[in-house]
Amino acid sequence: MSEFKSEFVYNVETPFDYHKGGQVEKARELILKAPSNRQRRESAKLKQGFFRALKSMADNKGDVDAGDQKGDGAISGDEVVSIIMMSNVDLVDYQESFRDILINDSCFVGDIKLTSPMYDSMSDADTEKLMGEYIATFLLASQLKKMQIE
Amino acid sequence: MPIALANPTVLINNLSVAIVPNSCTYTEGKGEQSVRVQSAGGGSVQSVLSNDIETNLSMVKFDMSATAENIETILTWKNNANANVISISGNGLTRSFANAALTNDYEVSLGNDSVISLEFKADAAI
Repeated sequence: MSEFKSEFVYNVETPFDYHKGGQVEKARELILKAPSNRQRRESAKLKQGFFRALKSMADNKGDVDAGDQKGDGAISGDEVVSIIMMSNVDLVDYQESFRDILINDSCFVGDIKLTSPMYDSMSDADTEKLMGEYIATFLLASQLKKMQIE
Repeated sequence: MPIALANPTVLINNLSVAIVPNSCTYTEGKGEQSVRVQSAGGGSVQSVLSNDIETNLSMVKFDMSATAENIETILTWKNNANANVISISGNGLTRSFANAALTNDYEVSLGNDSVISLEFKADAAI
């Protein structure tokens, strides 16, 4: 039986302020947790959006030029974001789904749950990078593994 | 034309708070100063400024509607003692108040148009 990550740590490039124990602190790393059924709606939207993006980029034979892919069939966060951006998937809607999944008990700064105002304080570059990493690590790992076996 | 800040965003412990419009006030926590005169002899006097350090605290006040959700949230702040943080922002202004404690024994009035008046004391604004 294959094992998938249940969480990973993302180091923030542009630290942002958050409230902890009566003090204003700088958030430097985020703990991302794998989605459960609680986040199934947002998770399904993100997965489906990515595969729609792949489909829209496929040639007549159904092949997609994935560029410099890693040998193990894994896909990087940057590649995920590039594929979504180059496709006809609505990036605004896609980012909103990602925001919903993060503020729904999937992301923590230490033991503090990420809230909507905290998400708004994050830089755009961090959000984009985080989105790619999250999707590649939690949402696509199992699917791509399955496709690789097939 | 400059616009007066009338609709600030109030965050407490990373969560946005819906307040009664026009009810938010705060003090910077710079304290009170008094000026006295000392005699220098020969009819001349000098003024002496004195800082009352005891008053170097910020105060944040606002009202909230008496909904069940608000009543629960307010109780959480009260139970947090001074482990709350308040941020007020809008139109380019940002103030943060660390170690904020909900100091008044707020009155929960359950009726038409009822509001809960809250008063926090915190470290000087940053």
